[in-house]
Amino acid sequence: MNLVRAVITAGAVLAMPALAHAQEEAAPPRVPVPKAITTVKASRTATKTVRTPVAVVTPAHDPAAPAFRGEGWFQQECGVCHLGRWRKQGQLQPYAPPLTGVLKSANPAREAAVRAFIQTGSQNMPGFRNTFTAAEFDELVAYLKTL
Amino acid sequence: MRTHMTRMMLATVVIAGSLATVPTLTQSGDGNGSLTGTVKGADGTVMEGVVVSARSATHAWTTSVYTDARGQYRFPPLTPGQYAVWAQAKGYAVARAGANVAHGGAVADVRLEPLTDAKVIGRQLDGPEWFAALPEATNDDKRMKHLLRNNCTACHGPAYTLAPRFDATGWRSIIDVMARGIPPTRGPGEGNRTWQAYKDDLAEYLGRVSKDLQLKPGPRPSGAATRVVITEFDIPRQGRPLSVHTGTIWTDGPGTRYESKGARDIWVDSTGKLWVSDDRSMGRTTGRLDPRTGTWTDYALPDAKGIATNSHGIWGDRRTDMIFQGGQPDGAILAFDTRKEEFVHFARPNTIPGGGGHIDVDSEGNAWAPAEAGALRLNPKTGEYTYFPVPYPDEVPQANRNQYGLAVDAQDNVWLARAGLEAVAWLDPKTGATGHVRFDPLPTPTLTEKDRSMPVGMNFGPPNGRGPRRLGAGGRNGGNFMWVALNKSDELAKIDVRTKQLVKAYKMPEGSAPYFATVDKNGHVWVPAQNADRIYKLDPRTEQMTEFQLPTRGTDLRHLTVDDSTPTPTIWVTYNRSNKIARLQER
Repeated sequence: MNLVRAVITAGAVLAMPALAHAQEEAAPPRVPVPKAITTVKASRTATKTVRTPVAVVTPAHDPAAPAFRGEGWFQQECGVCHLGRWRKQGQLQPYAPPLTGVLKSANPAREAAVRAFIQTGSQNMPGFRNTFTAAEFDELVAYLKTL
Repeated sequence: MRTHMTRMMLATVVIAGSLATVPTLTQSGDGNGSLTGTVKGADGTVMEGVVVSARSATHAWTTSVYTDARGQYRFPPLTPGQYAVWAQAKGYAVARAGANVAHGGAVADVRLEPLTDAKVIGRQLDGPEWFAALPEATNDDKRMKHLLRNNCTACHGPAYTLAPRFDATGWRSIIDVMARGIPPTRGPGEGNRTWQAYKDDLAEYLGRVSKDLQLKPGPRPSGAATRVVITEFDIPRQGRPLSVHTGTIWTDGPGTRYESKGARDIWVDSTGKLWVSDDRSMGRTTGRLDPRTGTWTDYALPDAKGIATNSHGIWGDRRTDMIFQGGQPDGAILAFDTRKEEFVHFARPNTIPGGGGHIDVDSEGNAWAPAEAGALRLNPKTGEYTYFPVPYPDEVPQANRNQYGLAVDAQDNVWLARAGLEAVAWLDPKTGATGHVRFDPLPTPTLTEKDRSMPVGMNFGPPNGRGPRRLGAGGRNGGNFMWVALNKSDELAKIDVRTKQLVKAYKMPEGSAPYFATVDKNGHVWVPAQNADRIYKLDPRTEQMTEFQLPTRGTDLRHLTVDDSTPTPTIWVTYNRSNKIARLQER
């Protein structure tokens, strides 16, 4: 299992995050709350408006391909920690290490170890032994091999 | 000749279940681009309330209808072309077909095969079905069920939350991270006080019950609930494709907060175009859908770094088609002129509190937003902000002084949802008079000493909350009443705006989590359910409530808008966590 952790840590170093968490959920500065009805004049500005037509782009994969289906399971169950949140400024740094390289060209022993790690979990990661059907878990592993 | 051509153009391929193939080719029908068919179970009996969806490869939207009591479905006229067709019912594998819809019409008959794996069936179900499976025989289990409801599924749908079926250790690690923030901005044991206080209790409960939950699909729609056409528009995103899972195929599970969260509130203008707020998507402060063409346009108000500002609530004035958005980082109420297609920024002077997320517009065209301990009004004609204090009773602890939803009634009184107080507050802007209408706590479960010491908010608190979240009257449509979504207790409360009294609370399915309410021109009250993938229509005269099930899982409904310009009101709703806009038309 130490091997798996080492690989995961190495992956975190190799795949540098695109953006750090910054200025999330910014709240307006608090001011003293008036006790009476208060009217103030605002300065009105017609601001710069950026207009962008956008078209729907569907993922460019065979929907039935195991690795593509596995990406769906990854987004659904692993993404909360291993994918960065999307915000207006782009995709933020993931909370947990990205899994780049963890199963890339892995030999059977390493794959078995990673499978067991995902099923069992650790102090910081829940185990997913009750989450997926056997076929779904294979799809998840097929996706991890592409990272 | 026409008959010959019609028959020549008919084409249907039917695939039943996930594996079996049933060769069915029916050559009948002479409609104009019609698509019809019959849905049967594996034993050959017809099935009512099965949702059948069709999508052309050239369109960014999906059309769905339901089978009637004879198991038959009928699409509205479709643009001729090749369509993917699929049928879904809870407890059954998706059945896929292809149909070449020509001017003569096409027929696709479908057969559904039952599923057996509880994990797979669980992904098809929504909040009420997951909650029905949670034990509550003892006071402690009932207490934990309500704590789950008030602290976890107040933000995350039960199907998404519970489907991983972790053990107690796994649940504890997740709850601990949740309490500290993702990524953790606070140390171990710090962060949200309520979640920290309950994390061991919740982890033990979830670890004990979630692994072997006996899930049972609820009843399929029948009667009036099947006479509806639902059109779901995918929302494009700058710089990335649609998510792999958007809840379209139920057995694939719901979309996620991180990959497919997007549009939040929605408003329809006088020309039928839809406008949404968005606090996630790049390049978008507001987005516009033209449903006639399916085209989408992003509008960004760039900040100093060129990044589009967030927006949370949205509402507008159909007389001017001016829209207003809350949730701005500077506390302003952001205006947007839809005819000129430009933002108008009214800088908020720093002598009054900033406006919060939810927005409504009064009969004079003023925009309103909740503000600290009161409400903020923007008069877009004069450019004046007015802050109205709506004080809390002195005995309310600071931790419980929170508010979220805001709505204007038919008399232009302003109402605020105050979950921490288990109340709604009202304000008469003409006189400055204010007051509260309180909701009694739930009689069960019995609280512990720890429960009684917990702070209360719309997404945290002890197990007896009712959780007024958002509310609405649909402007003049609301008449003498304001409708309040009691998010934690699954009720729709009716308040008389003249007497400021609670008239009645209508019970909704447990675990559905009503989130908002508005009223159409016929006086019908429309309620999106945050955790149920269902929209409810209440006829206050007959007190009949109709439940419309949606064709997508993990919708996370937070808002909707009514287009009263159509003979039968058209309902538009955003799927906050599945990145779609849906149109619901009764037929």
